[in-house]
Amino acid sequence: MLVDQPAIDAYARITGDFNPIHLDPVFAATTPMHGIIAHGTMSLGLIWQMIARNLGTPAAAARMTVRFVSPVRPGDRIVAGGAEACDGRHSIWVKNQKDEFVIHGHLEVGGQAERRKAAT
Amino acid sequence: MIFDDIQPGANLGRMELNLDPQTVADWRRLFPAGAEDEDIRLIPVGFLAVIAMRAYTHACPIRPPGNIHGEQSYEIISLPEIGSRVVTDVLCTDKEVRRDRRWVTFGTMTRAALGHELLFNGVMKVAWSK
Repeated sequence: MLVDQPAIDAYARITGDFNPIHLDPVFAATTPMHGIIAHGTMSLGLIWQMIARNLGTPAAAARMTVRFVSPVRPGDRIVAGGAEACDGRHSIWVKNQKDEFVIHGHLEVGGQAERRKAAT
Repeated sequence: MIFDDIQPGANLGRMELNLDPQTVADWRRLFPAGAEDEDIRLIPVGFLAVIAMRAYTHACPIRPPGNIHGEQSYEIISLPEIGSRVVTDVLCTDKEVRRDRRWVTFGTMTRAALGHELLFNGVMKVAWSK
């Protein structure tokens, strides 16, 4: 996915999140991010697409936890991926064109999430 | 709302949202891949973020500019149908200062407006700028 300003603007309208760090280059330049960054949950949308494509829609008993570890900026190309981890969960991530993680976390679907919840 | 005014444990409010087909279509234009794998009666699973963010911005309308989303989790029980209405409660669950950064944690709980069955929970951790 190419993240450009029109896409960020569209995401702001859909979510109602008009934080100027996503929209106003003058303001964003004054922040510790030193420029516009995309909404974190916008990149997360790519993970959900990847999950739907590879595991089917996790319509029940899915648990996801992610950290937004690097900013995504206009002009970045991001890709989502994942793998089954040794504990049975799925590690999930989004990387940018420099192969840097921008999101990483894990996902449990169906019985995995149910069993772990019952055990806690 | 500045960091010092935030009270962990506070119920910040409730928002009812109509999952209108147009907004879902706008979302699918941004994320077209994967749509063929989804049940078209239901919202795309990524649309959960839209519900949670709309409820958060509604419940917490005056936020300092420059906040940054740090962590997010979701626990999904089921997905609502497009065209249905959902109700989301927003709570502030924690705040802390770590490594000179102010962090605020919010919880969201989304239920069907009709029947009130729980659909999904969310937890978002936000770096608060002021």
